Amino acid sequence: MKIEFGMYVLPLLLWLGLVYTDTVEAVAKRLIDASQESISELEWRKEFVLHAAFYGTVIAALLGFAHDSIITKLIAALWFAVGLWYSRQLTALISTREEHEDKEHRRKVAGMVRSVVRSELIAFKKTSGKTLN
Amino acid sequence: METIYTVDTFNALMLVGILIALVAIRQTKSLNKKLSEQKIQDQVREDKLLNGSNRLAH
Repeated sequence: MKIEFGMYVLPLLLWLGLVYTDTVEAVAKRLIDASQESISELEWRKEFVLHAAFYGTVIAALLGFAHDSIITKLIAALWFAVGLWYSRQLTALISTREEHEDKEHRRKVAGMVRSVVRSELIAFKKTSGKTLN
Repeated sequence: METIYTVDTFNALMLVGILIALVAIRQTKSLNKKLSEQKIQDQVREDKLLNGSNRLAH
């Protein structure tokens, strides 16, 4: 990377960070934070990350070979590894969330069954006039 | 010269993307850990409830 390039880009990033702090923070939070996302959104994010990992690596590798740039080749490899690692983490999160939701659903069904049985018993008690233990 | 700047811009963008992905990985990991801990606590609570209802049944 050329020093002149850094001279242009670093002040620009600094300016963006200082002037648009709230916007930058909101965008970063939206990009990073996955806690409020549903399972389908997480699945979409995983697909997006996987595609970006493959296509980004191909473009970076092509550019790296075309311009004989070792940095670009290294960045391509790093991009691929990080992309796959992130998709792995997202898969684990999706699996945990699915288990969690499944358990929640079963708990709700069990509660409903209990309440139905209880109301049936009360109705039976009222109609028959017998005491139930 | 312009093509070199194109490659540099691409490198810079990819590095920013990698940094964002690393932070996101860290966040996802902590979220996953939190959910797993919650799962264990739920399991313990369910076991206690089950033991209690079994005791009542006997």
